[in-house]
Amino acid sequence: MKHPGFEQAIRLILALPSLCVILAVVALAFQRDYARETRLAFETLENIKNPVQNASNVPEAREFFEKSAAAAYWTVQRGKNDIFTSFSLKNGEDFILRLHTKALFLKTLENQKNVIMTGMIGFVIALEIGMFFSYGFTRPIKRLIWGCRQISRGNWVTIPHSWNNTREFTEMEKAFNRMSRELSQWHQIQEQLYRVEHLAGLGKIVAGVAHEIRNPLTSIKLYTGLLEKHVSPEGKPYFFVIKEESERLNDTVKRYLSLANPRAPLFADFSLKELFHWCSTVIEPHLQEKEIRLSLELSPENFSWKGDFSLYQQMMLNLVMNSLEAMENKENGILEIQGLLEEETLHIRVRDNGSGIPRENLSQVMMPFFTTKETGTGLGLSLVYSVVEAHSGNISLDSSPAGTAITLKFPRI
Amino acid sequence: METLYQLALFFLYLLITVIVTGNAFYWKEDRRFFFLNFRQVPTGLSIFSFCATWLGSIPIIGYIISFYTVGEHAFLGEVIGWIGAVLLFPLLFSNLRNSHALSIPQWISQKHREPELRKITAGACLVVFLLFLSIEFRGFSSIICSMFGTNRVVASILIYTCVLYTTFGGLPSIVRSDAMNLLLMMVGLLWACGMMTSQFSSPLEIPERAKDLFPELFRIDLLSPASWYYILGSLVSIVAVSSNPLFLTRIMAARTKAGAMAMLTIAPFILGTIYLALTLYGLGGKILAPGIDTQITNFAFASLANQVLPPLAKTVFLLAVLAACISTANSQLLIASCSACYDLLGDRGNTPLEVYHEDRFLFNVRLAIAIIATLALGISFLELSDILLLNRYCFSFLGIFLFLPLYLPRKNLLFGWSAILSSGTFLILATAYFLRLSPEQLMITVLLLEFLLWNVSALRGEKAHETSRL
Repeated sequence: MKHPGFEQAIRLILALPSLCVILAVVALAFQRDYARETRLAFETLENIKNPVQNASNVPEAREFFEKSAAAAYWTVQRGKNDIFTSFSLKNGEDFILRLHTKALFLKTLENQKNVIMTGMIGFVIALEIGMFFSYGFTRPIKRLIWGCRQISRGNWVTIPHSWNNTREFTEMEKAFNRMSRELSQWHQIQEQLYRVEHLAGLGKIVAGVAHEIRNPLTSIKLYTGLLEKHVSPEGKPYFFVIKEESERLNDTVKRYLSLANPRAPLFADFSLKELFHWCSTVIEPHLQEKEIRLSLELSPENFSWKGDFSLYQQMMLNLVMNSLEAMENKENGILEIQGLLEEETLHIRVRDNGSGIPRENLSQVMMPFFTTKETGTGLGLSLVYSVVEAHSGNISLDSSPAGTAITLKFPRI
Repeated sequence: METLYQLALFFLYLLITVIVTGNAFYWKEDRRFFFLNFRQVPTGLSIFSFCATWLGSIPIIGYIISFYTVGEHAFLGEVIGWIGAVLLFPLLFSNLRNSHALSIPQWISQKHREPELRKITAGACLVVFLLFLSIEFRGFSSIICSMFGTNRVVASILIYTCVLYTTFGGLPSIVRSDAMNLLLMMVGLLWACGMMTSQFSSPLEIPERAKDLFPELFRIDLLSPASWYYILGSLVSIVAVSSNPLFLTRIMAARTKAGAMAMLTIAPFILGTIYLALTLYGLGGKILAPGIDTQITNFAFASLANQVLPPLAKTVFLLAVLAACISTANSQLLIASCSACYDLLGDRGNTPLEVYHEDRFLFNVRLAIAIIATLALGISFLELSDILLLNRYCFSFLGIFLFLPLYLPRKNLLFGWSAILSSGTFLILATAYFLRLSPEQLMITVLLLEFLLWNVSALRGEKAHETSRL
């Protein structure tokens, strides 16, 4: 069954009293006019009283009556019923007149036609006002329902304040927004807890495995160093492959260990300009190879910031490498790196116009070992997250098929 | 008794309109719903709505009095021209059906890839439909005033509130009220025609007696200047009606292509029947009341109705004219508000949340509807000129601004449509006053000039395009 809408209900609620009021006003005007017309009808009798009474017979009286103004209100009645007034003629006959109520009614209706039509206009206007009333009631509810649907999909939206809301709806919006914010914070806390638990478990395994790999790896590195001068020229290429691969393995182990047992940051002042310059120098060959345009923006142009420079380097490198990979097969790729100091907060934004992150992966990209790339380790963004967390910052991610923007916010320490 | 019938029927009409129109603020609404009913108007409603929109109070009054005055020339100038326009609609049919545009100005600008064209055509639509609306208000109020002695301001405000009420719900409300209005129009017009023919032995006696009494009404000499005037009128009607967004949006809004095609095929038959009834009414009126002064059209119409119809038939006939007026005026108001809010103002004040954006946009559209209707009501009290002349000017403007961009193909233009139409407008302003051209002559002249400019622009544009490619 289709339930009636609020608009219909409000219109009905407004239509009925407005119709009653309009009917009452029209009836009052009608009654007054009817009374006035009745009075007029009796006044017209005064004008014909003498000539009619002086008439010698009924046809003569009738002729005189029909020419007078009284004929509009009275009819000649020959009978004993409904007698309103009678005149005695000279010949002793009675000339009887009856008030023509139907004509009186129609005349009043004619007089009051514009009032009645105005009443009809009033009725339609009342309905139109009802529409806008119902708009005022239903739209905040519609927005609230929309907000609830968004939250059920995991979008922590808030409802902007509308100037035309009533106090009750404003309170409802405030309550909704508070709930949305708290749910969002709760969700973040849950994610952090999950991450911590995940990391703690993984950390133990990784630390054990890395330790076991690192010991033999140290020996391999030591002995390859000693062997280098004894290798024949034919064997040198193979020897360097062994050396490079063991170096790479060592780097990987270091990254795993730093994730499992992150070191405490060493805070010191550094220049943001220097950090950006370093970053652009490191990625320069990649940019040229993939024909990607780099846009660097720093505001103010140079300022110092307190933090662990090497961790910042690690973080920036991971962010830009991720962006470059997202623009792998992209023509006219653009990488934007922005640094902005606003009051006591540093905003770093890295934006690309690559393929974007699928919506369903957005909540997992910061998790360790989560990757969609065939050769990825799933540690890049996870390391970024650790560095941001170590500096009490926060991270937000905005992605669409047109590209991804990662914004980091750091408070001044 | 006449007053009683009149008031009772008016009130009944209002009540039915309120019930039929439905909600003004639908729960699940967006601009596609408001302007085009999600392109889901069923075939039956499309046909009814098309016919109801077609028959405004001015075409009905104008045609009856024209036929009363000039006989078959009126048929040549008005019916052939109007119905002939239907033959042009199939040229746009597929493109309109396949487009995602919500308004005709948007469709035109997308077709020619010229954003400025949307603003120009929307501006023209806004002005023209504002005037059309004021003509409808004035036409109806002066008839009701002459026929029943009602206060003109009251009559104008009555129709103003009814039009507002039906337009607030957008196209879904309009098509529903149109269906009711068409039924009422058919009942009223056929009844009036029936009352007229009942005064003769058979309907066929009317033309026979009219031929005997007024042979000049049936003499069409295609070589005479008078005939050429009506042939020109017919041509202008074809151009203006075929460019009228009221009908083009009905093609866009139909649920299926077959439904839209059925609408274009069946509607002329319904309209033909109504025109036949109006013709009989006009001719019968000429026989029964030959001495009516036709200088002022609406008074002539009222005087004819007063002389030949009994009170109840007269009231129902008047109600049919009210229905015709409302069914056309609400569509005109919707097009004007769409042009103002959607095409001219666009998406200003865009809020990031979609639900707010659509809500605010549609609220603004309703505000625009109220403002435009109020302006039209104000203009209707100004008594600018004879309503039929004003109507002809409005049609000419519609043709000047929309016909060529609608029907000419897209080309690489050296100077775009904006320049071509601006030149046309300038020519109107510069020459209309001094040369004392009739609206029809003005339109044909400007259209020829625009066509010439378009050809020059297209030729130059193609050359420039070739050069740039080389």
